[in-house]
Amino acid sequence: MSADFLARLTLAHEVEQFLYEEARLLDTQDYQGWLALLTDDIHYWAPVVESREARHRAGHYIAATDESAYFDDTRATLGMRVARLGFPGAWAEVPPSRMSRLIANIQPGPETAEGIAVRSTFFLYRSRLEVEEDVYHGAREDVLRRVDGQLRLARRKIVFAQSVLTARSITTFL
Amino acid sequence: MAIEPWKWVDREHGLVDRRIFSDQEIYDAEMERIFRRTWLALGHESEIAQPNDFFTTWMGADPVIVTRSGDGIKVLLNMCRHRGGTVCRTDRGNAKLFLCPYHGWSYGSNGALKVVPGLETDYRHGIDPADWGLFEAPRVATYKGLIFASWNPDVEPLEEFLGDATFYLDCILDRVEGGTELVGGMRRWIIPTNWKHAAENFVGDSYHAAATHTSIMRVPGLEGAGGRVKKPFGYQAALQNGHGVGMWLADEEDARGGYGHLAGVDDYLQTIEDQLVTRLGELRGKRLTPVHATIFPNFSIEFPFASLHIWHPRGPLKTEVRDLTLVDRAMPPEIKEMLRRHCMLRQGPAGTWEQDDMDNWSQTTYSSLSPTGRGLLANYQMGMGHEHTRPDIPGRLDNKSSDINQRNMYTRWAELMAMEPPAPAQVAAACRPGKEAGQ
Repeated sequence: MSADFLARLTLAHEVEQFLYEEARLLDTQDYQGWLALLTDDIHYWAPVVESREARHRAGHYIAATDESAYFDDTRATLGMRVARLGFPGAWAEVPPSRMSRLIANIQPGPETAEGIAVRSTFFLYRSRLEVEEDVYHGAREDVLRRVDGQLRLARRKIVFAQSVLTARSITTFL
Repeated sequence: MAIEPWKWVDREHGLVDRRIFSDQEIYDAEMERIFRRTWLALGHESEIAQPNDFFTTWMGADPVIVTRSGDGIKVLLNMCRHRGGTVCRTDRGNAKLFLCPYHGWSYGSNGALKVVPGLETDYRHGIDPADWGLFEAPRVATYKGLIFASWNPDVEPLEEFLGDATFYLDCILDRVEGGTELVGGMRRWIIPTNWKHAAENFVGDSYHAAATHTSIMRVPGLEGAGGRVKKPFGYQAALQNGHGVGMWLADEEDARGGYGHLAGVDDYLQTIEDQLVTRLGELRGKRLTPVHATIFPNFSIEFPFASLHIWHPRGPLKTEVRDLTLVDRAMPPEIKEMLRRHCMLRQGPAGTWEQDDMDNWSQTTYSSLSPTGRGLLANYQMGMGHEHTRPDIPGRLDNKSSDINQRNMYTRWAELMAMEPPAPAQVAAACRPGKEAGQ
């Protein structure tokens, strides 16, 4: 086994464990713990998606950075969202949802000075009250960066697999 | 079940039977008697700026294509006249032809039937393409950039339908030279609620804010944008045709409030204040700020920067929302960007404001399925008997916390539901070649 291969295997394992730990924090709604995984300059972005002709961007259109988005957040606005969810009157999470998410197809690129580009897919199942259900599917493009030796999330682009979300609301992070 | 709207809407006592939020037959009647009769908001001209640009949307339960054709804006039923295939399967784009994938009938962006494979060789007796164009809404009109259409050829002129609502709409549509445009794209999602629960919230429900949005009030940076004027007082204004608007009003001369977290917007408004006063007058230029409105039936606005919501009914228990962000064309790019983010953080499925609204609306819809609950009429009585008017502000007025606009909306709902359904769309007489052959 070459040293290079081992290094890539080690990095892939580190990235996977980072994303799994992140998923655990989100499922358990430990949002303060989640915020601690983000860099101060995070860009957390979920552009809207439209159906366009097949010749246009592989079958769907992903909105540009100056267009509409479900999330287009900085560390400051993510902090506001988390603070709000912490109050008893954040009704869309009263009582809290039960969430279970799968993170899969994790493909880290090489580690460079800019960080590690990582692709992954997500599936989130949300159950609320008695039998209310929402599902969220999609792909993510992340950039992870080391801060004091620890991996941190510096960029995330979330592309939902739906153009019209069938979920009533998004009260968590993806 | 007979359609008996005045039995369900007791306007004298401000009571509404909850079955109107969940009953399939009532919903079906709404699609005919309301959504096939009145004007419906579809979008904004900036979405179809170039020739042959199009977007697809809904008029009630009817799928439509809105196009910019050589003949102007057309609103076409998205249904091949042959066997009913969907001729446009995408959300948006530019197309000279809409091709039905089933047998290949193709239509121009004005809806005219252009191609019928085998017209001569296979039909043989001949059909006239002029009789088989895409069915188009007989009435299409714009109001300062907003596109409306109606299936009803006899509908009143759009400005008459909007009536005094234009006084308030102009505060966002006509405040500066150059008009408005939309931020690209839109948030779309499905709420498990009856469309009226969304429309009534925006038409006049300021009362809900303190309870529903309690979490917002405690997080600096998430506050709303109703701050153009100081807030000593607010009104609800009930307008004709079921429309309604809520507003802040300052009676004193120097009424400037401020947006706090949107300081750049304050500066922008400062720079356009002379224009505002010139175009809209001193009252709307300085002292009056609309906050929320519904143009009945299903078009709502969160002022002033402005989030447009179109509530598309998807059955009695589901509503598809289209959430658009409107800005002044002439705004500096950094102000547009600030407002794009402002709306993103508040509206949409992840919106810090909107998600708690939707949660409540889904509960009020579900409760209307309760056979016992249905008999216990919904209370819209706040402020009854306190309606008044004043000469400088259009509409029948009451305090900002009042159900006056909801009563007005459900009264209009019942008026329309009490009318006979409009005539169904029909094929032209010439579409029956047997008759023609017999002539």
